[in-house]
Amino acid sequence: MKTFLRNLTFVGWLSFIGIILVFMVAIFAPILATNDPMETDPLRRLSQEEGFPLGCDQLGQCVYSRLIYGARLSLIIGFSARLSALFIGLAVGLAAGYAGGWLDWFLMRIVDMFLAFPSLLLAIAVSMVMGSGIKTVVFALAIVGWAEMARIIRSAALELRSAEYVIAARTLGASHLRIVLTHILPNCLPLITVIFTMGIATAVLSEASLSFLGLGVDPSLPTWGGMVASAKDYMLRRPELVAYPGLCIAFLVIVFNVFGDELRDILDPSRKGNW
Amino acid sequence: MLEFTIRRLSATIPVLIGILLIAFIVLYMIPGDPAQTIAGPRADAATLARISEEMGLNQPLYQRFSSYLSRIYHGNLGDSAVSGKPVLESVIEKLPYTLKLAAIAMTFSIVLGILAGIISAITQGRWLDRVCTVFSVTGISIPVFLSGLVFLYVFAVKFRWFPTSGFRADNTLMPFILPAFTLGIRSAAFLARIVRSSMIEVLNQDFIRTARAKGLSPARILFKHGLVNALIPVITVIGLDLSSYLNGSVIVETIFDLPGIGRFAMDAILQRDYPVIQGIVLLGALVFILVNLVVDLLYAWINPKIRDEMLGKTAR
Amino acid sequence: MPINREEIKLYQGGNMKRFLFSTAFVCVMFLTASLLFNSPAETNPSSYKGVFSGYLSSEPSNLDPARGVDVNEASIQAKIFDGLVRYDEKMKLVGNLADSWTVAADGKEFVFRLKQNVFFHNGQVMTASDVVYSLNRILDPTVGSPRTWVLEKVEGAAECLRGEASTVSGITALDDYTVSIKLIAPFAPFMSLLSMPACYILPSGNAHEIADRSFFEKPAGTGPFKITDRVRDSFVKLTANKNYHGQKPHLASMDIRIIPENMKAEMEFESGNLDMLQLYPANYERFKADPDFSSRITDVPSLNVFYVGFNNQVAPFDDARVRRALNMLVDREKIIKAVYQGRAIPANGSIPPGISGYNKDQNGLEYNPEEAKRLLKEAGYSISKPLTFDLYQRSAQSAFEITRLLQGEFKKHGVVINLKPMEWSALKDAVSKGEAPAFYMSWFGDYPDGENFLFPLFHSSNWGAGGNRARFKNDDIDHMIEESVKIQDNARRAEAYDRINRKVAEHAPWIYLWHASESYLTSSKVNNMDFTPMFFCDNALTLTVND
Repeated sequence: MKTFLRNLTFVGWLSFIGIILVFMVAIFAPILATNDPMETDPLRRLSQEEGFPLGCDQLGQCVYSRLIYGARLSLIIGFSARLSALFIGLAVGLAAGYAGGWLDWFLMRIVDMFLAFPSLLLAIAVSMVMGSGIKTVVFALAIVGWAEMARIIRSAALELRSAEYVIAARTLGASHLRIVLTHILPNCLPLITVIFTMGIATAVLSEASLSFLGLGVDPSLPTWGGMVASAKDYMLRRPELVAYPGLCIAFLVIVFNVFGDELRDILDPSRKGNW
Repeated sequence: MLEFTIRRLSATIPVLIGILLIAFIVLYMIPGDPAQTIAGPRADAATLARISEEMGLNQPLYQRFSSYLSRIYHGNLGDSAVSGKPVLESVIEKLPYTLKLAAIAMTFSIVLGILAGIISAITQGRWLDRVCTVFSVTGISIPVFLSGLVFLYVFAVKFRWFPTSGFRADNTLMPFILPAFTLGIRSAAFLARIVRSSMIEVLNQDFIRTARAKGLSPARILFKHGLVNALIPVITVIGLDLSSYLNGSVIVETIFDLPGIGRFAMDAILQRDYPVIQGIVLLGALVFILVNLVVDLLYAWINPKIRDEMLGKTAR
Repeated sequence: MPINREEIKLYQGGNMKRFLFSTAFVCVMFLTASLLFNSPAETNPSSYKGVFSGYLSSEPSNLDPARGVDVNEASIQAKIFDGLVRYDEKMKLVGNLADSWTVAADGKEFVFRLKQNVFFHNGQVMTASDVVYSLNRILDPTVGSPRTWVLEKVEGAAECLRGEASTVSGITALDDYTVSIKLIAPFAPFMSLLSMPACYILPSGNAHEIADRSFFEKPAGTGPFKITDRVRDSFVKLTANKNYHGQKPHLASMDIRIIPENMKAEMEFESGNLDMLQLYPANYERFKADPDFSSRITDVPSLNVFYVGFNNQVAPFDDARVRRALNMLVDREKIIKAVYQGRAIPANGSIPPGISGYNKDQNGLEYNPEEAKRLLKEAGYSISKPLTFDLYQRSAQSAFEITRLLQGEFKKHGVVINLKPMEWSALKDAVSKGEAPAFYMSWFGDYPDGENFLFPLFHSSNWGAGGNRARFKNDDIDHMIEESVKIQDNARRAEAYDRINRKVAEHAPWIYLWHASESYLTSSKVNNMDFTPMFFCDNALTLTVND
C-alpha cells in the first residue's frame, strides 16, 4: 500500500482525494444534508428559500440535500452492481481459463452472447422484467457487465495456467480448486482491482442512463440520473437543475476512471495506457 | 487461414442462436399482455383470445421459439404488433438515419480521436498532452444524455447554430451534426487514448530510432512508420465501438428526435412491441458479431502470428 | 366505455416526461377554428394560403379509424375522414356526411339522409354503401376493432361479433343516400357515439387495400385535408382538400411533426418552427410571465377527471370510512395552485364541467384533516399503526409530479404511501386484474355526454379493463345508470346523471382529484384559432396562418 501511494502521480492523488471526498459525502450525508431529501411541499415549488442552499425543485425538495444523498446511492449501486458482476465474471473466467478445452469453449460462447447484446437494450429489458428498484438496477447492470470481466479474467487465468508454479502444484497433487484459489486467483488480484475500479465508473454511468430513461430506481429516491431526468423539462427555465446532478455524475465517473487508470499503470504496467 | 476462418465461424453460429434464445426468454418474461396492448382497453375476452391465438401466444414456449427461429431463417422478422408493418421493412426504413448518424459520428471520432492521440503522443508530458488527456477523460466520463442536453441547450437553443430536432432529416446534414458529435465524442476519447499509447510504444521502437538516426524528417517518420503501425489496435477499437453506437443512438435519437433505429427501439420497448424489439436486438447482435468476425479475420490475415496464437489456444 | 386518453397513448417512445393529461395529444387537434366574422360557409375568402406547423407527441402509427385507440391518431383521422355527424366548435352536434336525420319515437331507429356529390380523396363518390361498409367493419370480428362497444347496441351486432352473421342486420342502406340504423333498446347518447373517430367513413371501393392495411399508409377519406407526405416518426403532411364538401379550409397545408419530448417542442416553438405549443406545468409559468407570450396563451377546459382509484373489493379500501378519510386528506386547491397554477377545478364527482350532469355543489369530501383522522381512528388506524398502501402509477415524470406530492402530503398526516411506478401496459394489466390496491389515473371523455363518465367507470359490468377499475359495485347505481340512458329528454337525463354522480361520491370509490385544463400557446402567425375540449372535434377548418 505504501509503495502504491508513493507511486501515485499528481493526477492520481487528485483522483484519490476525489474518491475519498465522495465517500465522505456518502457516509456523512445525514450530517451534511440540510433537509430531508425526499420531503416534498407544493408551496416550495422551484423556490429559493433560506435553508435550501441550492433552492428547491418542482416538488419542493431540497436540491442540495438530494445531491448529497445521491452520492450515497450512486456508490451503493455502483459497488453492488460491480461486485455482483465480478463474482459471476470471476467464476466463469477462472473456470474457463483454468479448465480450458470444451468448457472454455462453451463458457466463452456464452460470454460472447452477452457481449454481443446492445448492453443498454439488455439492461432496459431486464429492468422491465423485474420492475423498478435498486435490486433490479443492480441485477441489470451485473447481467450487462459480467461478460467483459469474465473475458479479461479468463485470459489472465489462461496465461497463469501454464505458469511453472501452477504446473508444479499440480504435479504435487494439489486439487484444482486449491490451485485456482491459492495460485491463480491471487495472481489475478491486481488485474481484478483495476477492472473493478474502472467498472464502477461504467456502472455509475449506466445507472444514470437507466434512471434518465425512467427505468432505474424509484424516482423518489435522490439519484443523480433521475434528477437530470426530472429537471429536463425545466431546463429552459432552470438549467442549473440539470447542471448540478450532471456535474456530480461527471465528477464521480472521472475520479474513478482516472484512479483506475493510475492503478493499472502501477499494478499492471504491461497494459499501460490502454483502457 | 481456412482453418482459422472455419473455427471462427463455428464459434459464431451457436452464439447467434443463444442470442435469439436470451432475447426471446427476456421478452417472454416482461409483464404486460401483448394481446391486450393490441386489442385496446375495452376488448372482450373473445377478442383477446383470438389475438393471442393469432400471435401464437398460447403455444408452449419451445414451440414459439422454434417457430420464431424458422421464421428468422426465412428472413421474416414478423410484423410490428402496433403498426402491423413488417419489422424488417421498418428497420430498413429507419436504418439510413442511424447509419448516417453513425457514419458522421464515426468520422468525428476518428478525426478527433486520432488527431488528439497523435498530438498527445508527440507532445508527451507537456501541457498539450495534458489538455488532450483531460479531454479524453472527460469525454469518456460524461454520460451521453448529459452531453446531449448540454449541446442542445448551448448550440441549438442559445446560439441557434443547429436545428434542435431532426425534422425532415433526410434532406440535409445539419440536424445530424449535434447528435453525431454527442455520439462520437465518447469514442473519440477512447480512440485518443489508444492512439496515444500505441504511438508512444511504436515511436520508442528500434526501427523508428533507426529511421530517425538516418535523418528522415520527423513528419515522415511519424506518418509513414509511426501512424501506420499504431493504427492496428485502432481498427479493433473502431470495430468494437460500432455496437456502442446502437446503444448510444437509443438516447441520442430520443433527445434529438431523429427517426432512426434507436428511437424505434425505445418506442417498441415502451409499447411492448415484441417483434420489433426482437428484430432490433437481433440486428444489433448480428452487426456486432459480423464486425467482430471481420475484424478478427482481418487481423489474422494481416498478422499470421496472431492467427497461430489464436489457433493454438482457442478461437475467441 | 370510452377509451381513456392516457391509456391510449402513453407509450410514447423515449419520452420521459410529459404531463399525464396531455400525454396523448398535443396540439393540432384542439384547434378548431373560430368563425370570427361569422362568415357563411359557402364563401371561402382565402385561397388556401399558409402552412400551419403543428406537432404530435407520438407517431400516429395506426390511421385505421376502426382500430385506433390513440388520440394522436384520432387527431390526424379527424382531418382526413368524416363521420355521419360531428361536434362543432361550440360542442353542438351537427350533420357532417349526413345532411339530416330522424329519430323514431321509440328511440330505436335512426335514419340518415346523406349529402350528395361527396368525393373521397381518391375520386370515388361517397354513397350509403360506404357508410354500411364502414360501420359493419367495426363489428367484423376479423378486423379486431377495440371499439366494437361503440355499436354494440345496434341490432344484429352481437351475432356479427360472434361470427354468426356476416353483416349487421340493423345497419341498412335504404337507397343510395339513405342509411338506417336500428338499436335493440333505446340509448339516448347514441348520436354522440356516432361522432367518434371509430365511425368515420372509409371508401368501400378500397376494401381490398383496407383489408391488408396498406390503405392506411396514406388513407383517403372525405375530410378537409388529405395526406400528401408521411415519414413515420418524423412528420405527416396534410394538404387542403379543394373538393371538400363543407366549408373549405383556409390553409394550404399543415405540417404535423412528431415530437415526443416536451422540452424539444418548447425549443422548436421558440426557434419559430412551430405555430403552437401545448403548455405544461414545466413551462407554463415561464411563458405566462413573458408579456410577448402571455397574450397568446389559451386555457381550454378539457373533458377529463384525474383520480386515485381504490380497489373497492379488498382491504383496507373495502371500508368506505378509509376511502372517505383519504379524500379528506388531499388539499386539492393547494396542489392545483402549485402544479397547475390554478388551471384546474377540484373534482367533486367524475363528471367534468361542460358535460351534462356536472354539478358544482360540494360532495362532503373536501379537505378536512380533523374529520379524516377521526374516520381513520374509527377504522382502526393511528400513528403507531399507520395506514400503509401501495399506489400504482405510470413510470413517467408527469405522474410523479402529482404522486410524489400526494405521498408527501399524506405522510404529514401519518398515512404511508409506497409508489409503484410501472410501465403503462404493465400498469393497465395490474389494475385490470385488481392487483393494484390504489392507482393514480385519469379519464378523458370520448363524447360529451355524462354517460361516458358514469357507465364505464362505475357500472359493475365494466369491472377491470372496461373502465370500472375501482371494482365498484352497487346494485342501485347499476340500475340508475341503466335507466338514465333511456331518457330521451336532455335536461331530464342530465338531472339523472347528476343524481348518480352524487350518489357514487357518497361511496367515495376514488379520491376525486381535479378536472385539469389544457393550455396552448400559439405563434403570432396564427389567427382564428379556436379550441374545443374534445380531441376529435377539430378539423382546422377556420384556422388561418399569415406568411
